[in-house]
Amino acid sequence: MAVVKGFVSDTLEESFRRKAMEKYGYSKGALSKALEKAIELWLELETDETEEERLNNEAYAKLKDEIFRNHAGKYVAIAKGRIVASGDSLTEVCLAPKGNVSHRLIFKVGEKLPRRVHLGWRASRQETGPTSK
Amino acid sequence: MESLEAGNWPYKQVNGVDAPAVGVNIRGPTGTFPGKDELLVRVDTGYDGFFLISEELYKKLKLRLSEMPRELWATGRSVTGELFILRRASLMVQVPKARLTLEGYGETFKGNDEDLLGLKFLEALRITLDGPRKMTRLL
Repeated sequence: MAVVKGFVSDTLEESFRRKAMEKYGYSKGALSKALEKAIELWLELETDETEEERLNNEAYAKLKDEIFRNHAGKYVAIAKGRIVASGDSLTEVCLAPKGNVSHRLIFKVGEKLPRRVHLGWRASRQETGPTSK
Repeated sequence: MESLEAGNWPYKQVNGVDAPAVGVNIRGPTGTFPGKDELLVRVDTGYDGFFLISEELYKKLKLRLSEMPRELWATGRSVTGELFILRRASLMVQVPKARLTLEGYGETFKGNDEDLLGLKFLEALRITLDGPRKMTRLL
């Protein structure tokens, strides 16, 4: 077991502590279990990201206001860090990409999707390497 | 003999268990899979989402070319409380026997080898389960 030391904001620390206790009980080790889970999820999220994927997600964050202002309700495609298509249906936007593109974002602007999903009895993790690209 | 053309699908056997399934075609960024035939996918009402896709199929469909921004990805929770980050991608699912095309999303997580159609998918379909005959029937 290793010790991890760092600084986080008071509000984050408070939320984290509260959630950890809710999840793992008011006992010794609850914070460590929650911290381990948080680090695992963060690593999972970060280690699979390709350069093109990072670029596209950065572009989305940067262009988000413009996208919501000019393309509300439409499907938008972002590739190589810029908006490459916009249309009323997924069929219009989701065509095979031209050129050497390994990652692309396609989404419906303003669509509300569930952020928490129950996976049911069938879903379980098989031991594998990183998510295939 | 059941008519498979009329809108019936036989249950799919997974790990020795017969389970309700629906035949679909998936339209992704590089074409339709499996093409002329249907892909028989297990229906799971314990899964909230639209289409849970195995990592292998996610790769085969090249869904990294129609992925959603990370801020629209979800966290999945298994019945045992395990948490998974779900990669999400836009796709279309056709149900040829119902003459239905649905715009939706596919999601996967690291180590997933299941393909499942969930509650969100079922919102668009009227089906009944014929347990004794092990058939999913389109209404």
